Amino acid sequence: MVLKGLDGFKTLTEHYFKQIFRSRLLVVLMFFLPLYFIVTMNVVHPERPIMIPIGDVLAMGILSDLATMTVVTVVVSLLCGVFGFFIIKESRTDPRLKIVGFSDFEILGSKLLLLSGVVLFTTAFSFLVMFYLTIPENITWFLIGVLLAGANYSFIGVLAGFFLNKLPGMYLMLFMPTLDLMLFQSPMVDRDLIGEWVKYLPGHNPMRIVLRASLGLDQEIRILLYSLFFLALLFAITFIVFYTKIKTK
Amino acid sequence: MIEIRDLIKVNVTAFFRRPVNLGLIVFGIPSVIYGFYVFMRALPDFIFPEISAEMGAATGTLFAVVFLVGLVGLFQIISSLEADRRLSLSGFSMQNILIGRFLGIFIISTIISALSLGVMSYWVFAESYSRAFLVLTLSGFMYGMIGVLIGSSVPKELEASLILIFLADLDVFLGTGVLDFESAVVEYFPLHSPSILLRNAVLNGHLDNSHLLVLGVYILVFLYFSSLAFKKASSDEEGWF
Amino acid sequence: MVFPLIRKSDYTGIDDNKKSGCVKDGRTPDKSRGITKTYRSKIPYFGRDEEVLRGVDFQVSEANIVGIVGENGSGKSTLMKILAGVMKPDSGLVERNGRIGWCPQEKLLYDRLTVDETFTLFGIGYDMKRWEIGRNKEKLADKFGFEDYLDYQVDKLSEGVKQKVNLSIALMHDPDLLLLDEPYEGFDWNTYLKFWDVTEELLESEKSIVVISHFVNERERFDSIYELYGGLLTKEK
Repeated sequence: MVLKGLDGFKTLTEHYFKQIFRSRLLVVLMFFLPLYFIVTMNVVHPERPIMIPIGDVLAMGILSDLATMTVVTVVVSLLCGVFGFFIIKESRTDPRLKIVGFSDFEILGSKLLLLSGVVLFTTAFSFLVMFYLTIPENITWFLIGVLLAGANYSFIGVLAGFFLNKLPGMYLMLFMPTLDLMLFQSPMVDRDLIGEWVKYLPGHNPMRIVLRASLGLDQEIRILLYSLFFLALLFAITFIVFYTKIKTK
Repeated sequence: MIEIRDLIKVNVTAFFRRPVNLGLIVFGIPSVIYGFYVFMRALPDFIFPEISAEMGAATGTLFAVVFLVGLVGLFQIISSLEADRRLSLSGFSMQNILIGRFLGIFIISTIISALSLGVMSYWVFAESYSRAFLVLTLSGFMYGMIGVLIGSSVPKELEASLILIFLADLDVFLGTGVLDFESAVVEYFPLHSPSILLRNAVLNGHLDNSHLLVLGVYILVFLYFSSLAFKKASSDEEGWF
Repeated sequence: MVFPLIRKSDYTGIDDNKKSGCVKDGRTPDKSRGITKTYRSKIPYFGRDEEVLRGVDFQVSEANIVGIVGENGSGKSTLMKILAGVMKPDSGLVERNGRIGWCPQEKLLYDRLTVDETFTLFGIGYDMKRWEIGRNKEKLADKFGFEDYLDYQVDKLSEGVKQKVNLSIALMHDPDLLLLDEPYEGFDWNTYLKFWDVTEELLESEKSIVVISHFVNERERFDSIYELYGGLLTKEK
């Protein structure tokens, strides 16, 4: 294994970026899709007050604001998940790069770096769109929650890319964030009726952070730690799977 | 006729021949239906007094079917455009290729609808299974046409998938009434009429003619535009985008 | 988790690509013994296993050009991938000395990068300096006649020009051993002749070339020709 240092890493990342984002349509979609989704959800929800159970407390929020903030998390997760999936699907040239001399670490690292950029961009842009419509009580924690959700789903997209074809992969990358974030993590559901298993879904802890931040409630550090642990676990699994897959067979 | 029959067979077997697609039907569809069922069951009654857990499962069934058939339409078109062009040179008329493809999608929709209805019946008893099956099949076909339209216009998998995902997601949550809101614009979402038709088929076994007409009109409209887009894409390598 | 179903290989050892070759006397840039490869079905007991290579021995010496022919599906590309190091054999030994240039049959290029950017990417991979990349790119573009396309994205190129770029990427780092899989697919006549000029130059500088093709014209250009049939390689008389 030969590491080329920063030059090789930088070159690979730069070229992967060009390979994906040279599509003008894709760039347009990166802006348009969050805009249309977030604005539509904000417009169709009424601006009426609603009592939300968060943990042991009942907090009051505005329905349209809460829906908007939830949707930001969903949009970021959807986009990051799909990108993660396609970044792996566009890997047929990787064996040639290995023969040429790039290491497995450089190839994986470049893809993850690119994916991180996607997570950051989609979070930032979606937040900007939301900012014109509503502002969470605690912006920093809100962004942390959304970033964590996006990062989780980007890794899930990567893992799906290793094992699934495009059709089932896209099916998973739509339904998993949608069901997880929009439905199962909704503060309106009765936890006793839905079951404890939803706590183990990728969106659980990030969504708790997002909702608390939206309503201005105090954050629990342990939720952040659980989220980071979950993210680290996903990263480790992704790394292992990638390394196993990219090894010459 | 023989040509079309051959084309239908190719299109349908291409989908069911892949083990991962079968896995999707076995695991994916039930998961979605169960997810919606469990969500609606866990919501307090005052949130959606008119929509029970069973209706949640029916909505989930609709979503599971339409999105799958939509993806089939999308990916089949993108992956087969070049092959279809080549097929037309070997003697198949473009018209027959188009008919074969669309009928193939229709048959896939019927099979997936039947299987999904079977899964749904574990949680929901429908007053009229035949009418529910009809609604699911037609709705699936409508989304198949949407998939073809997107795939023909944007023959790039990542971009086309993103468009379909965001369209379908919003359509389900606004058009089907899963989320509570008040706006007239939702009546124009493609899944608005199918969701009402399916609910009626499940609850009382009747189909409202006006909503059936709307669904029929949407199918014809998407059929028309997807045919145009397919024709353009099959004669022009780059598509619209 | 998916567990690979290929049985644990009993191959005795693979030398990874050696960048700055330790080329020995009586030099053989590539030597392979007893190569076997079977494509196994992904699901146990379903589908067919396909035994493609059944004990291939192969060797190419310095300043030699060798052709490998065979029917479609005979395993030529599989053998080439094993020789290049893209794929591992189930058993057998592959020794490589020196730098390898691999030109695959499928044009494994990034379709949205320009030709310039493609050279830069692969050149960095080969550990070439920027000025070396520029120099070799200009030389190959001029030789194969694609200098007008350097700022075109790969997906905008004709298949013939793509193949020129595909081949040039394999040549740009002055490899000791060139592994070419259907290298002249899509070439016009002039480019086909230029290809053979380039091979002559390479042979004069004591490089070795392996060309895989499903048919080989102009047999006199090759030092030897092997046929891959039934999973075994036999030298044509």
